[in-house]
Amino acid sequence: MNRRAFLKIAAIGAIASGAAAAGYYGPELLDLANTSAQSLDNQIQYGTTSFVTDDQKIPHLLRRAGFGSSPSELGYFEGLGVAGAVDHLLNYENIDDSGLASEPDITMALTKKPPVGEIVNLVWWWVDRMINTPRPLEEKMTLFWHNHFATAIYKVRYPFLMFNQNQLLRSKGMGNFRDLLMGITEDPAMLIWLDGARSKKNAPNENYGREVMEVFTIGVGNYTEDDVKAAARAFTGYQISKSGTSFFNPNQHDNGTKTFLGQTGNFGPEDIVNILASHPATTKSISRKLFTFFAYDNPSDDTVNRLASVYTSTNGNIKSVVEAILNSDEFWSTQAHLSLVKSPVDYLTTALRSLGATANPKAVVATLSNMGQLPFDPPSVFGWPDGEAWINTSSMIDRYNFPLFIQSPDNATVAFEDSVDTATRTLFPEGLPSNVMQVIQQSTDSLTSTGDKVRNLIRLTMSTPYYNLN
Amino acid sequence: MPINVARRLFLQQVATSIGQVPSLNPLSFGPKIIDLTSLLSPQQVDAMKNRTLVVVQLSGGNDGLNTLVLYSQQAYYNARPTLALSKSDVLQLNGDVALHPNMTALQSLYKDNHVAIVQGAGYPNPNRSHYESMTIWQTASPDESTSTGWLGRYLDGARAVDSSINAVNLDALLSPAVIGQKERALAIESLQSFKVAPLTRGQSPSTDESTIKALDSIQCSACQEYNNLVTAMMEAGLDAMTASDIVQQAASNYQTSVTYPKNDFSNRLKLAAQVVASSLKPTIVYLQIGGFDTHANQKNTQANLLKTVSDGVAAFYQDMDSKGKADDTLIMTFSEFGRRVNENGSLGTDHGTAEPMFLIGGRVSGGLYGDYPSLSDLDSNGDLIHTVDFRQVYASVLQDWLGTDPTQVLSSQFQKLNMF
Repeated sequence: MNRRAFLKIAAIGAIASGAAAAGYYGPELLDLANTSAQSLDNQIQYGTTSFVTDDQKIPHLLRRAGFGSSPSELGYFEGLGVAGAVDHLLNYENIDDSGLASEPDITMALTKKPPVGEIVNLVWWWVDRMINTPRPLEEKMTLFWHNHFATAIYKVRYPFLMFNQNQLLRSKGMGNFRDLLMGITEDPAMLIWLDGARSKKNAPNENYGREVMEVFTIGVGNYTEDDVKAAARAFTGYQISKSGTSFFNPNQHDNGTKTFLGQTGNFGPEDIVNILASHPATTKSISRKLFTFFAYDNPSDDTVNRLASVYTSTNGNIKSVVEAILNSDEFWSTQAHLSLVKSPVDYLTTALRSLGATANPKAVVATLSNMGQLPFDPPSVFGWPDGEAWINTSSMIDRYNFPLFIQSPDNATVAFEDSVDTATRTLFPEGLPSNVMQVIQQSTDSLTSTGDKVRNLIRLTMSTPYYNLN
Repeated sequence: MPINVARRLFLQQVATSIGQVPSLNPLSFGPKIIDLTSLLSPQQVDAMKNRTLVVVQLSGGNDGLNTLVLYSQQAYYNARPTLALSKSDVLQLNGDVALHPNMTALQSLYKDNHVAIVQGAGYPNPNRSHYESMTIWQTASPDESTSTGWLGRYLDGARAVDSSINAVNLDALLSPAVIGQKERALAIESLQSFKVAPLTRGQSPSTDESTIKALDSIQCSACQEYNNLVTAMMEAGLDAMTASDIVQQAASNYQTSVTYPKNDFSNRLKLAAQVVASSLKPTIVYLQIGGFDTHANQKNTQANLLKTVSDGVAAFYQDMDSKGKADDTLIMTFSEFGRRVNENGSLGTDHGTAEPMFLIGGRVSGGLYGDYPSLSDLDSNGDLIHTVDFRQVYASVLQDWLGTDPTQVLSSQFQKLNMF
């Protein structure tokens, strides 16, 4: 059964079986009068950690390790149980995703004039994957790495080079970090973005040599300006062919002896990548960044060290670190639940995935751009900010307006006006506080046309602070 | 639609009446609240309220050597075999220094004594990371990490005296510079997007009113403490709807005889002029332009950017001048660092240190401030040694333009430059 059919069933209250089992769409709803107080009462105490309630678990997991969930998807994962759900998200290789477009509609060549206008197709291709993929964690990890190795089309110019980099992040994003870093080092879009392709052996360009340490691996405080210069020399030699692939030109490589982070030798790109990928500071910085992406800000040293030891013992296997995070007490604690702000991408994809709806690609691109998180176009090599940075007067208005671009399936349109509760829980499964529900109900009742009622319902739900938490 | 300036006040009353007073400073940014209440008299605050400081952030590290050119020195030409600007092309300010050839608009303002140029601004132990150095300029705290920006700390103090003092950041995301411990700037990405859309295009206003009222109420309903983020979103939402009404109304009344260049940066400056004319009357406007990280093929990239900045800023100044507000306008530019003296092998330059800052305004005493850094006496990395601490410039602006005790904002005392 496809999502739209499921949505219809869920929406008209016929109840998807899994959701019913978990009590999600059944008639006996939680008393919403005081959600926060009730949540506190229901918290289960183990030692010093208080955990989320059972019915918060799957919505929490699917928001963090995916892009929210339709009622049917929520029901399916509820049926798997928490351990099964984590396993299903992590081990996605054999899940059939042939229903997704494998490639965007863009020019796959280094044309004389970069077809920058194709960015709409490129962005929509990826956003559509986030909304419709049966492997949500695969896309979530791709988004994580895109932010980590932040590369922007405003300098790269060629959509197909951005697409190729995106595929690299997708294919290596759950493998070995060293392999991913090596792939990124040789990636044509990155070679343009951080000027590696222009670096000459007689006067090396420091851009990649600096950022690979500062942003991608060991972080500030763990290297000197001399290390930047040594790395820049070691990375000389890459060029980009006319077909848009990279190659190593030994004639442009500095073969001299370099001293890098205390080691001396005739280092080339692989040597630097190997040193950086296994550096203790990298094991910690990658572990910390993954944790704050999935769980919450400011993890304790103990938490980071525990994850770093997973990194070390698996030789930098990313999937193992992610698995350790999703199975950690911290991830399932109340400290994690709804502790993050939905990024613009989360905000937008979660709505469309939950509703089984679509939107005009141009409106999607304009909204993400206005909100400051257009995929393939991060502001700088540092990627996007997170958390409270997404909350400001400009972004809140964008969050009030985007819902009007959502094209709901017709069957949902009919169903939604029947039940404000169904509509709001489709978008925010935990349920809104009763006073907020009341406002939404009253406002919707005051409208006459079905179209207005549905748009109003979706808009007001997505405008609540609750929906905007992650 | 009438301007509802009382939304947030209304919210506070609602919250109080139901016995739940929301924290209006939900986000905690550090240990220290700066209280300027005792330092500023209401009269002082009033006097400063008509003034606007427009901060223009040049992101990426602008090459100062090719912006303010030391064209009299052979060392400049030696260091820049492909990038040096020729003596005959540059816009000479005196026998030694000149502006980039594309900065004709600023040159003309300079001739009218409306431009102060601080040569060699920087700070001790310069950091060459974009992120770190930008943070240092934004927080004005090179030695100690802090989560409040220098203008945010100013806002904390100023709004404690007068809550009608506003700051506006023309961007999708707030710069750390304008985030204080309690206060933060309003963000406006564009005029077009800063407007709550009607539920259905062309429908009756009463329907709109009902949904917009509901949007308001929803934010108010969320007053119940859930977590700090909810409170922050509620506040931002209410501020947004209030400010949106004000700005849209001002924009619809706004007229200018000045033709702004057609590019994104100038569009934002025009928006700045519209916001300045609104009843928000911002004391601070903050905006940025990116693309200055010229590791490769610097020549054309920087030339285009400098033209954009120079033409845009001059148009904005003229717009203010035509409305009799030149004396109430101060524009200040900065970048996170300048660039290496010697060019690299990619026809570009790598990260460096000291850089010139430009301050433009009717009250500015035009001219050059500070010494041009030596091109031969460089640091161990081959970079310029700064001659003016950028916090001296901030101190001057805080005291002489914003009427604020700079030591409260900057944590220590810096010798002012007498630029006004």
